[in-house]
Amino acid sequence: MFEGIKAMAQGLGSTFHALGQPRDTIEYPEKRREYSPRFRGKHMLAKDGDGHELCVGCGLCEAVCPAHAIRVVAAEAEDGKAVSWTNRYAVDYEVDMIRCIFCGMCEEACPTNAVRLTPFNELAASDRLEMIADKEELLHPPVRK
Amino acid sequence: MIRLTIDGQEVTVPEGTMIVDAAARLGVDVPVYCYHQALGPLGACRMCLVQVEKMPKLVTGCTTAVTEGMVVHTKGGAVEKGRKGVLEFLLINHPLDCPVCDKGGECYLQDYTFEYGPGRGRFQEPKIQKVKNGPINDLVLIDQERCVLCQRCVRFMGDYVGEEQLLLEGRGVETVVTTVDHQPATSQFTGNVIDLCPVGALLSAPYYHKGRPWNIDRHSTVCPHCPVGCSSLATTRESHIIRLEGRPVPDRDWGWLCDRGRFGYDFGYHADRIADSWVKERATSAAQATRDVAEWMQQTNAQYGPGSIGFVMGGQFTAEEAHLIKKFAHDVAQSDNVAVMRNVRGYLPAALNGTFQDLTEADTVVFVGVDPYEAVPVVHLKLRDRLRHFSQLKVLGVGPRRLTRDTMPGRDYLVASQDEAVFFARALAAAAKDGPGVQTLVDSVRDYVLPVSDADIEAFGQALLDAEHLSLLWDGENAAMAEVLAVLAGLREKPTAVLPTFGPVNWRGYEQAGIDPRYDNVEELLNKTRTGEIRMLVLWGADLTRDLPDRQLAEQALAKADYVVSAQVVPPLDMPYIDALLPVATWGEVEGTYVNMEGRLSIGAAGVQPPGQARPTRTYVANWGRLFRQDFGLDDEWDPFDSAQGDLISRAGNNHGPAQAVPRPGTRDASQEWTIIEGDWVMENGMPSEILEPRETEFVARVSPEDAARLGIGEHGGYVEAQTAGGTVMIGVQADPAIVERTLWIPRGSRHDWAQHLEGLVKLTRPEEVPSV
Amino acid sequence: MSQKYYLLRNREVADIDRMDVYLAHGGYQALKTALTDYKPEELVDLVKKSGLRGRGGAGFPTGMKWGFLPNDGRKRYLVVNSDEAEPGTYKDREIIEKNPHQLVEGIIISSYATKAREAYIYCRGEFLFGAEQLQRAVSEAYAEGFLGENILGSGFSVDLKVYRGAGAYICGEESALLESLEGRRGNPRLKPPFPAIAGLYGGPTVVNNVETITNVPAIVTYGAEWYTSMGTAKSPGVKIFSVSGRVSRPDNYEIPLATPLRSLIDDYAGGVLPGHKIKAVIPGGSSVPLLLPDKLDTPLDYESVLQAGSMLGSGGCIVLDDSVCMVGATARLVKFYREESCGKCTPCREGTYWMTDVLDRIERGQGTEEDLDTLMDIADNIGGKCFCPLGDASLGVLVSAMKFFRDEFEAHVREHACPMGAKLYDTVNH
Repeated sequence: MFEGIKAMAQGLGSTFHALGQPRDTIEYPEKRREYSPRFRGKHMLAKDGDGHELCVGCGLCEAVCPAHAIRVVAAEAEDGKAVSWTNRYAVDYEVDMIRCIFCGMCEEACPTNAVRLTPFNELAASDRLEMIADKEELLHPPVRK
Repeated sequence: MIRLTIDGQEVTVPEGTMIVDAAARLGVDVPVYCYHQALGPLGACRMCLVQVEKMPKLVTGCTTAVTEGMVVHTKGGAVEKGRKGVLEFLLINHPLDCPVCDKGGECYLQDYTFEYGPGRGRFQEPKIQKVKNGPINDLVLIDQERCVLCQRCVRFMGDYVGEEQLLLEGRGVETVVTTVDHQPATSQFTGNVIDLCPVGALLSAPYYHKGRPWNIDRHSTVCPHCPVGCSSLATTRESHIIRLEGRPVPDRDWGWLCDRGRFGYDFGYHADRIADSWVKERATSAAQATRDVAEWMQQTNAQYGPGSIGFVMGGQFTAEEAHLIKKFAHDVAQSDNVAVMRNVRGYLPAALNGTFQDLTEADTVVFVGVDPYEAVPVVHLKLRDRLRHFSQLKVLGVGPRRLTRDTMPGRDYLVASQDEAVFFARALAAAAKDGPGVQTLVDSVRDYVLPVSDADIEAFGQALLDAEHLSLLWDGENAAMAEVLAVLAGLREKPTAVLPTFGPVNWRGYEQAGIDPRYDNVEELLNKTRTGEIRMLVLWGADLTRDLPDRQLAEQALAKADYVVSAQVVPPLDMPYIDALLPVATWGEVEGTYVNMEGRLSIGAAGVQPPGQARPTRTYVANWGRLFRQDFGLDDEWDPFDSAQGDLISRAGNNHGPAQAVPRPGTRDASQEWTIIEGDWVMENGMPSEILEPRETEFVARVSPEDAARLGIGEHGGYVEAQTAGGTVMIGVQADPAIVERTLWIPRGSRHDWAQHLEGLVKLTRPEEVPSV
Repeated sequence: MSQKYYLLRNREVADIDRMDVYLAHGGYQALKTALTDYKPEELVDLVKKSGLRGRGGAGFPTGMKWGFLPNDGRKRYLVVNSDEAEPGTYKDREIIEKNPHQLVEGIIISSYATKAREAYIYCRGEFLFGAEQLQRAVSEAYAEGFLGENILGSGFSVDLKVYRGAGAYICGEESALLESLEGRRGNPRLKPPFPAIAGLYGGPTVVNNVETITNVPAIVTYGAEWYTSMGTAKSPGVKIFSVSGRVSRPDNYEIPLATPLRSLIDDYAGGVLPGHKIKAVIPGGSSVPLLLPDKLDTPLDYESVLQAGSMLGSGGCIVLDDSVCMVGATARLVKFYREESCGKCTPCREGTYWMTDVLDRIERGQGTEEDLDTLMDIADNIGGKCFCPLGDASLGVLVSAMKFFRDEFEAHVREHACPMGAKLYDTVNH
């Protein structure tokens, strides 16, 4: 009987001991984990110093994507209304976040350093259509609080 | 035959074969840029360097003909270094454009560099700069920096087509491809340089930036715009056709397209495309329209009995669709009144129908009423190919206008359309008066006055008989020619072939489906409609008032019918008469068989969905079958290839009866100052195209330069007033040296309103108010 | 030095470009002799026996070339290549400007020998005065009845036209010349077929250099034995050498073949400039390799020069001395080929462009060790892989300069400057 009480006391003892120990749990969403800058989260389309989009609509990201998550439609900019730094730009650029496997191949393939994966990973939504990020969304990447 | 060894493998090839072609037979790929089998060797790019034993230097495989016992190495140290060197040289001035260049992914420079090229470039100097977004014309762009100077484009336009509109300017590294006088190239074959260019220097403007090889699909098809039915590849992306490329067929077809075919693929989603159903001029649902039509059919049959519905096939439908209509008509609608819409009265029995091989082997070619350059452009290219290999090709034109031209020189015999058969008959009578059927043929026209001298008539007849291989192109206008051609073929022991250039484009396909395509058939059907025997017309792609030579018959039949149902792609000229307008799926939206002017069956694949409410024929027919509550099964077993020999329609049967006399043409009204003649022109075939709009002209009618001067018409055309029996109408005309004086040429099937209102043309006068351009 | 001139007769007789003067000094006698005493085949044999070789650069036996024409009854053409543009060569210029009638006479005799019905002189576009002289000489010849129908009652007729080029070195290449003559872009043609079979307008054509044809009247006048008495057995006769560069008397010199190179430079051209030593000599125009001073005793005939490691070529002898920077000279020379490349074939068009840029950088002191190796590799990728000999011609001096004067190239790289102290010559942006 004493062994039983001793065993219980030991178990309770380690429980109460653990109560006072520091915790690894991060209380999301009040506190958030730090991610490395190379963390592969949501995409963004970058612009250069003059405000021109870097994306030229080449479609290499679309070609390399193993999940076929990217759709690129290119077009020629109208005279005087340059969108990118050259006359070709992406008029449609969509990334399906559900298909995306966040491998980062698109970022590697991009010859103009336009598409990049940011550390933003809060992608949940309640509608599948909402999870297709279009160009407007990608040009204005959310920054995590 | 020569036997040689390539990479250790033996191969036997005909004498005169180049090493690269011999290697291709073995499946050994030797990279080339400037070499193209149709254009011949040039030896400029040095890409095809190979090693031949006993020769001290590397030789170009495209310029070196094989010799007996030759030993060739296409792999190994020297060859690899040579290729690496050439590719490195090509890349030094080549701009770093791959991400923005449309050719990326299907580029021979990329592919060869990846396979044979150096891993890194050593060039550090500034690259040469040239024009980057220059136009060749509205539809073809040039980026001179990307050009590898293979000269395929300039050789194609200059030597092959004969219209030297592209040239090289400058010397050395500053050489650029440009247009003559920097003016847009106007040839209708310029689009082919896009296919020829191995890199992204010459690009399609309509396809600019529209797709990449990995997000498009290619569907093997044939072009639907003219009876040549050029083999092509439709590029589709997200259910739109965005490009048409030529599809070479080994040993048979180089894969050229004319610009009308290449760029006119957008009629399917043109603004004019009918995508809604209309019943009694109100838009309705597809289901409702289908029901209404079925109800009318049942009503008509109930009231008037079997045979009271007439079906007329036209348009660009497949043979399978025609078969469905025929079967439905017979099985469900209880009618055997099925005909093919015709815009000329002629018919050619299959036994006389030649193939394009007959053009490749011809030593004498006769154009009967048709100018292939305008009507069937790629046939003109095939003749150019023949002319380049056989400069003594005899070209003869017979018709109411000049049919030969600078790039296809020959002799023209100017006779009125109605006199063509008479001319031929008298020519045969002069050259072979005792030939079988000849005297019968010429019986009624012995003394008919022709505008050609007797000596010329006999010379023509002699030319027809002496030809080693005679090929004729016929526009079908003069129906009596069929008789003449049969007798002619019978007279000659050597090959005689006729290629019909008339439409509708798939009329042979409709014939295979069991519908009689002769003009008599559709005439009879419309006569029955006019008299009230047929009470309902179902026009499947047919546009009667536009196309039928006897316009009055068309109008009267349409007016008399109780119900007129029309399935169309674009609004037809019949609109005022139509009770139900059904949107129907067309070329590119339905898979099926097309039979071209050779009688060759090809499959056009489907690549896109029809827009709006447009449905395939099959859907309509199946729904009607259900609505009739009949046990009607769609016949999926019927295959037009079953009755064919390989991929050619059977030439058997159609045995000609005894020769019949060529009818004596009626005398023309002498008071009529002006003659109207019609011709086929592929640009005006009735299908709209936004892409080709810059090439369109208002001035589609033509007069001789002398008349144009008298009428005050400027260089690009102008408006004149045409005084006809029905009043005055403004028409757009331009000058054409091929037209003779006091003749007005109009394109057959033109959609211009005035083209339908020229009966009893008295004269053309200069309009006072409207200035000419 | 006093000598008898057979080609540059203008040096003995003033105004010999005028018909009256030329006639007074035995002009057109050779023509008369040829027409009366010789049948065409016999003239061909005479030229064969004389051993005359093409003076344009290739040195092909002229009589043999004439013998290649097929006897198929088609109309024949004789085309005279006066598109002298090889750097260092200006011998033909003197002939056409100063002694055009000898050329015209030679053309008529050669046309008679080859039974050509039409003859053309393709004159370099830049030689405006030369073309005018030729045109005048031709007109004078027509006036005297030496050209046209039934010349001097012999039954032989030939027409001669002067055609001006538009300024392209490549049109000195015979097939490019024929293209240009036909009014097309001056790109060389595929051979076979050779001009003898399918040349001008597809007909049998002989293309000869100006100097070669100018020899013909002399050979007819003095005979084949006279010709073979000079030079060597394989390289007989006289040749005009155009000496230029760092010599006291740069000029054209008409000398018998097999004269030693040293003699040409010292005895005729006055030797290298005082106070300087010869560094290298380019014996036959810019397309041939350099010869070092140890080869100065080489006799100037086709075989000896070939054995010495260069080629007789067109005879344009450029003398370089110790004040010349080899890198700069090479860069300037290669630039010529880049400018003149016709652009048809990739290695020549792009290779010369590249080599010029690299050499310029080295010359300006911005080169690296790697550049020297790259340069040799580019040369290897051009050599033997081009459509016509222009590509190989661009390499002649470069390869020999890199071989013999590598230290100068390396000095430019190491010291980022020219060790000769030469002004850094900007060939790209001059």
